[in-house]
Amino acid sequence: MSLLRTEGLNLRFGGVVALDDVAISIDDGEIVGLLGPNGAGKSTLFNVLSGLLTPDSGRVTLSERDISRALPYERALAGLGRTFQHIKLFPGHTVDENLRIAQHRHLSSSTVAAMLRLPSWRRDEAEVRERVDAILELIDLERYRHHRPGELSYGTLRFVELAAVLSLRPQVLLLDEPASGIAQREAEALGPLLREIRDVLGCAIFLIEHDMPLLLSVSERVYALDFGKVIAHGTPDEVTADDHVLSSYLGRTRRTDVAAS
Amino acid sequence: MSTKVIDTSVLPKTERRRRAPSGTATAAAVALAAAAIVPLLLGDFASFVGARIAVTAIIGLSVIVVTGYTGQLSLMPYTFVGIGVFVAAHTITGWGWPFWFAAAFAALLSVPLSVLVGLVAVRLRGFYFAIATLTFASAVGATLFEWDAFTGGQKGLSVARPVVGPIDFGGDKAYYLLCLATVLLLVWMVMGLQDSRIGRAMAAVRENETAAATLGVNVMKTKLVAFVVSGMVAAIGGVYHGMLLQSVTRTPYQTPFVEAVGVTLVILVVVGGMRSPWGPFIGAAIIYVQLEVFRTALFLQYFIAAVTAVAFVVVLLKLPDGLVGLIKHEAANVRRAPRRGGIRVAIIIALNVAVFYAIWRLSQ
Repeated sequence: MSLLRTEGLNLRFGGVVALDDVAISIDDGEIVGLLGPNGAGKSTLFNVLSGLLTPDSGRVTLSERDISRALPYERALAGLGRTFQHIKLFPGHTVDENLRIAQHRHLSSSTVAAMLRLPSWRRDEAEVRERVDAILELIDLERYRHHRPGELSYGTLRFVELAAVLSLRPQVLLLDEPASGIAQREAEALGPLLREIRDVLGCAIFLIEHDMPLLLSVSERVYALDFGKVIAHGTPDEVTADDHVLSSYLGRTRRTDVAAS
Repeated sequence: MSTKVIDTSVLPKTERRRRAPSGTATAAAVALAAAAIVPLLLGDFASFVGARIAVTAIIGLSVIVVTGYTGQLSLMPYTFVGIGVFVAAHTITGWGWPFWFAAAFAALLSVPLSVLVGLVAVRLRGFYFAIATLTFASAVGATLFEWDAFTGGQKGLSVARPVVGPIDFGGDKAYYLLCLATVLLLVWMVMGLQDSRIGRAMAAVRENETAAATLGVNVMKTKLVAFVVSGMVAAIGGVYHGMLLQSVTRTPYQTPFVEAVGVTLVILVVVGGMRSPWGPFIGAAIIYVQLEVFRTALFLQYFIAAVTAVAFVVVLLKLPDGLVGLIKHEAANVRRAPRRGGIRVAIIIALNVAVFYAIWRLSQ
């Protein structure tokens, strides 16, 4: 049974076709990669999936439930977590406070309860402390607890953002270039980490990544996108052997590699 | 959640930072005792000024919730104050209700209006939110407050100060203590909001609406809750404002005054500190005490606006968290290096006293 599925997603920005009849499907507990050259529509697809963009036509379903018209926060509450290519954290708050904000979904105390310090507020605050402790232990970020995002390296922030989105306990995790802008050593740690997250939390992961070795080693299936169209999908080996993919994406990568060396 | 540890030792090391130990409780107790006693010793006029400060602090708390916590600039706090003022006039003086019941009723009555305005305003961001509230302030002033049966027309209405059992709050000293107790209660309540599900959602909305929504926060609902709570607090402030003045008219709650006092209140809260429930209290205290001191110095009167403007710009540039931020900063300095920090604080206080003394001498 597919957990997250899209059917016939189309989106145009003026004359530019951003998404062209995109149909993808992700199963429970699967790690799926999304590759494609810059401007292929990868982040646009993520924005449509998470509700930040409305497609011209098409459907998005999560666990057989149609979420095409759901607002971003409703999709988050339905179990769809995502990170951004440009990290979005709350800069005025410490890591601890950022992760407390991220526990919103699991709490229920009312405004009045907080203002009068009622028992329901007390229970909420005890729970939030426990949950933040647990997630800091899971991602091993305890030593950054009282730092603000501005004081931390980009790589560390990627892990903090991951901790925040995992706090949602999502069923599907959309990761937009988790390895971009971080050190090689940190990027290498990411592959095992993603598998660990999938095993421990049991969520499916759909990721965009330009680090090809990482993407191909961690993904069980891969979709290749170009000009907003799915040009290939299958196992990493099948997709990297595909003629369309070679010409549109890997070819270009090889050329830049040559130019860089 | 499993306690399985995922190794992130590849991440760069930083030293663990510790929370500062809190020795602030005693200092706060001393400050509060001084706030309660000093105006009483100085007499009726000082107590009236004190009550004015406390009432302004209550109204300022409404700004803390919607602007400080949630980041939405509402310029209609005095519309809700107006509702409180006239509700107090009818219920306390007209119908003989106890003041606390009138305050609760005013808070409740503000809800339909704030929901109505809120449903429009929460769809807007930043500048547009502010303009929407400004428009509604003007509209309510031209409709609800034009209703003579509600506002008493040109003559206005009178509001009695309460008598509770054997205690008569009619005098300025007793009324000051009542206002002080109320503002402390409301500061405590608004403070509770900060560390709660809804308070954290407000902070998230303030800093990044998209990120907040991604984490499951209903941005529009959060803004609406903030706006409604803010309206209720302002309406309660209005009841106390009415009892403070004892005679009220509609003019301050209509264009152009209602907009002007709304902006002035926001300035006062920014100077005091936007992120702390103590901000309005400290901002009101500093500004009103200065105004009273400057008022006696006739030849300096004309400089008040200039001095205020300079102080405001300095706060904006150097003290994003206002005077509360300054106090916290200096308190941290004292804790870290008691002697040097103590000397710094002594110099700041001495400079302030010197300026006040000089103005007072010059005005004699």
